[in-house]
Amino acid sequence: MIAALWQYVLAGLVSGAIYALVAAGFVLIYQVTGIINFAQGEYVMIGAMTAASLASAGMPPLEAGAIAIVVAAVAGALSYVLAIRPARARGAAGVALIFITLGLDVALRGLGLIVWGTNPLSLNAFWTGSSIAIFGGVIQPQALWVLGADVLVFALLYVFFQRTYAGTAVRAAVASPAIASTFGIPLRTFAFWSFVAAAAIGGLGGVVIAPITSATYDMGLTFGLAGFVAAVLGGLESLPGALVGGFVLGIAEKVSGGLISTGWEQGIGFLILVLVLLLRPQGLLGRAVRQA
Amino acid sequence: MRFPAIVAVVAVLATSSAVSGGAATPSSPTGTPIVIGAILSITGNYAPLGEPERNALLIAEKDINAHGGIAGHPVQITILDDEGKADVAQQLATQLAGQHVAAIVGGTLTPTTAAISRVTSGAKIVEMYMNPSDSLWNTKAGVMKYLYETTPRNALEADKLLAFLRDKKHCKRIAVMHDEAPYGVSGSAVVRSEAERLGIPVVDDESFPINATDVTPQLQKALAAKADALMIWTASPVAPILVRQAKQFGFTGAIAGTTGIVSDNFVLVAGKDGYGVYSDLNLNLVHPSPEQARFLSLYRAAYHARPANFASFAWDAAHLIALAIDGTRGNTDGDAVTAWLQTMKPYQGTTGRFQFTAADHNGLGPDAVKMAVENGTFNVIE
Amino acid sequence: MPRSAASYAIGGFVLFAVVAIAVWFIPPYYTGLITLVGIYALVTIGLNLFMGYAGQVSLGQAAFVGVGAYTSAVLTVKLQWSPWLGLVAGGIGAAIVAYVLSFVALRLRENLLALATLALGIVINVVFNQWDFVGGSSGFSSIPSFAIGRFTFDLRAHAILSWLLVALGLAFAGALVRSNYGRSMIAISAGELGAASVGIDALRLKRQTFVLSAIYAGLAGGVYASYQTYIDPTSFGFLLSVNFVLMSVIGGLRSLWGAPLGAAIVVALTQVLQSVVPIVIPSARGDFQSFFLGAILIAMLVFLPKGLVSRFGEARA
Repeated sequence: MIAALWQYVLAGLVSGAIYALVAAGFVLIYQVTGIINFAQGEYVMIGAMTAASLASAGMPPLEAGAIAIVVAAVAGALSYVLAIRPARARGAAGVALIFITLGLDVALRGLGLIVWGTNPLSLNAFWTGSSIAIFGGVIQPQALWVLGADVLVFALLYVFFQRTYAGTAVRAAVASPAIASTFGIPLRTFAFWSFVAAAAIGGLGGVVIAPITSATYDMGLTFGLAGFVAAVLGGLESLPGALVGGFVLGIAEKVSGGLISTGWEQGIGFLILVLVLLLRPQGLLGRAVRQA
Repeated sequence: MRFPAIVAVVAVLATSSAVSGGAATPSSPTGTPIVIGAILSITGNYAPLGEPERNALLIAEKDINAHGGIAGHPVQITILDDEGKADVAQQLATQLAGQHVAAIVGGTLTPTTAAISRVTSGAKIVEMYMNPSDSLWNTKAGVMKYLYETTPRNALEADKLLAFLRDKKHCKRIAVMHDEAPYGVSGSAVVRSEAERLGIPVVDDESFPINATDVTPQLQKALAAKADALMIWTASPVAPILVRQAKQFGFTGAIAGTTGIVSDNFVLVAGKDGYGVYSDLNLNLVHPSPEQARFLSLYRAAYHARPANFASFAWDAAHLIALAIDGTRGNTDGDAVTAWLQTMKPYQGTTGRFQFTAADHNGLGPDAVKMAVENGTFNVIE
Repeated sequence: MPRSAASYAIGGFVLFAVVAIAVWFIPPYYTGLITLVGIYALVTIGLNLFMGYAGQVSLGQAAFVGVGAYTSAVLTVKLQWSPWLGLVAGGIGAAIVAYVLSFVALRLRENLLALATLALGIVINVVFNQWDFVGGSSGFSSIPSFAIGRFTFDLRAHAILSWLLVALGLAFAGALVRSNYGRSMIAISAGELGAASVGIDALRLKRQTFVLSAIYAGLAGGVYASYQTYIDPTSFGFLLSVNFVLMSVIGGLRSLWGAPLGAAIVVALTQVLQSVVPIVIPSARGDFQSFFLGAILIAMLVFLPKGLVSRFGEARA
């Protein structure tokens, strides 16, 4: 019983790690621009599909992965330049921006279907070999890459925001956009780069998870929805919250699936979301939400 | 000011009528052709199923015409795409029924077949479908008069796999792993009832969504129930993930799956862990029967590729219909055709030996299902 | 120049008359499409009331269609009710669910409201999938069709029925938005604090509009169930909710005429794209038309945020 529970926790850590990456992308964009980017999950799909199709054409997996991350980043850049910036330039706000990112999500998924169709694509694991035993539970070697990606991304984000000048400027701009612009801080450039970074992070997530789950045409929707439950759970304004939210969600899914019923694995995340919105809309680590 | 809006709405509807809704344009007939309609899932999520079926029907059409057509008339197979959606399938069936086709081949999936059969049963058109769910023709209210199935039904598959596990692998405790789609749900019910009939205990039964990326809870429960065999019933990409995770958790028993797991994706994703996984096939590509060899060479000549295992179902459906209308001497009336089919003599198709009766609209026996094992690809082993 | 409530009613019935005549002349396949457009248009009218007039967001409307469809299916299949009663029950069922959910969702604004409706829509869909009483993933089949006396509705009758409901729906919505109630709705979308300052109870109004939009969706679901005679959870997922948003925005959020127009455009475009694109790009599969629909949605929001109808008429306050 305890052994099974520990195995659920391990499985939850792996899926939670991807949720955390997707959530980080959401939080990054939300913090810098105030927009909830419904298309975030599709960058995962783009990363996974690109890496898998390049690798099956003969490219070594790490190279394919690197290019896939760049492709995802480009998709993020285009998302901002073709959709967000023109809309905001014309004064779109609030509800309209929600619809725009929804359109972006739908469009990117459709683009994926045009390019890759509905067949799943596979990617070889970066480290092959037998599973690794941890206190009686097992994980596959590829899972270490997934967890490693998390460590890398969150460490980089921490360093950027807390230890670099640019990061501090971004934090200032987020805290008071009006004052920041009088200092000549380029808000639109920050917005652009937040999209690029969020997409690259999502793409990285897709590349490391593809060897475990295959690259499928609907993985963007699955990981996107889970990722933003994690983001809201952790607190939309908190990057550490994304990490916490991701792992909490992943583990909650597996444990409830194991202990209650596997059928509810899908629903538990959204029940959690509803509870969070009802009881603590700022999330676990966020500060109280300002009312519009 | 409201009129422009109304006009716009009407104009949009009218314009969409002017553009093709996905129908294939029939070629100009020579003589009075007998038209067979086909409603397949060629695009949509199940394209890997529908495309080989379409390919098989196209060469079947040529083959039938090369052998004198049907009762002296050329045959014409009109192939339509339901995109994997039941509502589209129903509309297409209504369209075909309005054109008074002689018979319909379709659908690819259970929901699309159900939708089409709602139309064909009312319009009295013989329909042959290509998925293993026999509950479509074998309903609680009796056998559906005009509906036939050219795929070995779930029970035949389950029997083959279960008997193999019991006799050759000496398994005594089966865990069923099925997806939540109708294919998995109905398949698992059949596995459980056949296992009971064959005297093999089913110690666990788990389900997973078709887009699952991890089946840890399901496998842990199967292991806790001390299963010595896993029976996987799904056509989704979860199958290889399941096999990999089972091996990771140290499962050493036998793993078998329905023919739905046979795919290139399975081999690629499962990797080494997929070796030794059992399934079943209908087409024996290494030692084909004479009919299979003929089908294979025609398929290879036309498409320069191996046919998918289930392409044979479409080929057989077309030939069986041709045979039936030949037998009724060109009478395409649904009652006449189905009467002929129900009293037919055995016919050796590519899938197996068919003999429909009033009570059996699948007409196949255990010979239609052959055990296979994966060792780089899935190959027939007996 | 403000349009009178009567103009919506008249226009609606003109539209209905056009459809009722056209179905005798067009091929059955297109009659089926027209029925679907009508069903979707009905949902979109309700959605426009909630999103366009009251200024809220719903990303889960497909779930209400599903509740209506399942309610009708359960009553007509398991209890042998008449499909007409099932239709009405579908609307009521969706209304009840919406009322209960409104206590959760409507306290939130914009972003969080969008997320809440999204989440609730998915939870409802998971319930359809997991609850054996409503058939689980296999859904319901053999749902009885509408009938009047001995005459069972055929394709044409379904098309006429769905557009009759659209006409009635337009008439009712038209009367609503032209009344004081409608002005209150618009006041809320402009700002709840401002609305409160003139004595409008924003929460109550939002709740009423939410429930009303659910009634439209539930009725549409009831028609859908008896028309298709088969429903399963895959018909009512998040992607359909997104489609409804598309229909709303393309037609024009704050426009009732935009609803049938948006529905017609999305359905027609889907058909055309599904036929044409695979010829040019053979690798395209599945619901790839969403690329174009998404691009159109973005383009509309950037260049024509008030939707198509606003371009050609229906001046808004």
